[in-house]
Amino acid sequence: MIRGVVFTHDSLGEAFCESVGSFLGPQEGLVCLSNRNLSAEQMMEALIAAVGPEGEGVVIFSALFGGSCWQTSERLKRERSDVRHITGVNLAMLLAFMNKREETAFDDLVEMVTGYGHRGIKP
Amino acid sequence: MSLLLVRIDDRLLHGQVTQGWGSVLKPDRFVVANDTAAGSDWEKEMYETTAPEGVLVSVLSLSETGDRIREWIEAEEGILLLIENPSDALTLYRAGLMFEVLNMGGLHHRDGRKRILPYVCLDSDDIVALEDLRDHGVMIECADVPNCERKDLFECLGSTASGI
Repeated sequence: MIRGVVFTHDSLGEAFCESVGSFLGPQEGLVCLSNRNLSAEQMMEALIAAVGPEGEGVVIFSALFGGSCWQTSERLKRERSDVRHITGVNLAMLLAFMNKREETAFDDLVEMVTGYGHRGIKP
Repeated sequence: MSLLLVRIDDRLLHGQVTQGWGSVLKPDRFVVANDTAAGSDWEKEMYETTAPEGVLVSVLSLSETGDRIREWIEAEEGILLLIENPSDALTLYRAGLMFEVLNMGGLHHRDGRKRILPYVCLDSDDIVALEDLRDHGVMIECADVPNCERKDLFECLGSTASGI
């Protein structure tokens, strides 16, 4: 299973995962991680633990381009060929990820899910 | 212009700095003074790509930071300087980069460090470097975000210092 990690400031990721559950019911393979009170080094350790060992692939969702979660995710993506990273997470994007991950090739998933995220933003 | 803020933050340039302090102080340039980051083209480019619109980002080694900042200040730039830890702050000060206030913005927990505030943890080496700066007249002011209550680090430390 392709897994997801929602890595954000404070309790934002927890709220995203809770909301996904309220739409789709209890889900496997989606975890949240907060950067609260962590140094850059500790954030990397926590993210490595959340991503876990190499498998079918992991997509990290962060919220703020340039933020510490984004930076840590970019650093790990650089080291791991099985890790992808999307920033600017929204609920439309996460729901698409959960619904499409079983039927979409890992290499196509990021572009597809990002598209759903874009289409969820309307002026 | 001048050094608008000299900040210790072990996350260096991140959202709290660009969005929080940056929107209040409106610097012309963020300077990341860090030998590790300055030694990696990838890290330098990463920080540079996160610059808010209209703001420059420079990633420098500690040894080149003082001279470059003086040049930019002479050129009327407002600078927000980011330093990873108290030891690096002392290194910059001893090399001639003068500042009157040092913002303690984020120094997180690790083995041997004791928590002073939710965002400030210190070990004995940190204290020694900060005491050195204080003895040179530098005010060490704790504030993670711009609109929080400013706290004097050594008042926060109180009797805790002897236990670190």
